[in-house]
Amino acid sequence: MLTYQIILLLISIIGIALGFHRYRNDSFSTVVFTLWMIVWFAVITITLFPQLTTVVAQLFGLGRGLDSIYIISIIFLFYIVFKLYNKMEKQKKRINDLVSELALKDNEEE
Amino acid sequence: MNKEDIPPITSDIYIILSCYNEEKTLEDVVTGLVQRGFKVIIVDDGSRDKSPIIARQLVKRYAPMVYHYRHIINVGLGGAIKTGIKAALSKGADIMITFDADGQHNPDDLYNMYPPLQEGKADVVIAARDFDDMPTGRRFGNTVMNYITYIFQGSMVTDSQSGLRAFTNSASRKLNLKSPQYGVSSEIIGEIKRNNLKLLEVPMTTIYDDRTIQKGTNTMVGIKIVLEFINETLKR
Repeated sequence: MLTYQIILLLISIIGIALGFHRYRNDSFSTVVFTLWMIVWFAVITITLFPQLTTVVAQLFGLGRGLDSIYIISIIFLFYIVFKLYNKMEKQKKRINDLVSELALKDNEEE
Repeated sequence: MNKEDIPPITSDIYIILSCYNEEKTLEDVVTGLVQRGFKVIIVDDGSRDKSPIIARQLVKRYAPMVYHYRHIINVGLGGAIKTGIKAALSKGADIMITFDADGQHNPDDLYNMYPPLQEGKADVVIAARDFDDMPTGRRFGNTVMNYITYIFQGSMVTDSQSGLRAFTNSASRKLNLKSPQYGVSSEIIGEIKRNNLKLLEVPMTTIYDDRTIQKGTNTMVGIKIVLEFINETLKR
């Protein structure tokens, strides 16, 4: 086994452990937990069987196995950033509404 | 203005005074409004200076003409206006007028604003600044903002960023405002059009000094407004 494989395996195991921990604490919903697990098990699979990436690459007409990983990762990251951005905006709106309601409520009580 | 020229106030009028760190001007602005017979709703948008203390003193001094609502954290102009409208509606206001607490607005301009609403001639009155009186940079910025408002909100007005706007009770209920910050000014222009409200534009005098020039809509704020609109358009 090569060094990068050992490092990736360790990171994946930590990732999975963290996932379980978060899920038990209720900070991960079942959907997020499932997605999280799929990602890390995919990383483990690819680490143990790197030749699999070549199959994926050929499927999309790319030259190298590594390229397919790069492209999939970038798309995935963009998607996450987009999701996070929307979530943040929604939270901001909720906080603004809350601040407004608090101001109105405080005045009623005075 | 002579006393006999002042149009009579025949309805319940509330001034929505959005205030963010205005300890220097708040007292004078509120006093000027109360002396003219207007009820004032101070919406303190999370000020970190002495504004909330001054506001509470003013509530006591001018009871029952002045009310104070405080956002515990800063939201932005749009949020303050929304809270102010809700507060005015809960008090049963017939007419509500947004006003800046930084001393940029002349309270005498209000005399042009409520008569058309009282007489049922309009649903919304916006006081437009004379762009010729503005410093060059300001004039350019406001002209650009008028076009941006036209592009995103579909309505061309004389002064899209004016802070002096008067609404009837029913008009204010129809406004669906989403922008928490400065984008609210253009959004209001769009909402007037979308709800087929009758808009009347009246002239106003602007007081420009170094302080108000620093505070108002600058280029950065302009860019932020555009980004906000693009984001809103994409989400639709």
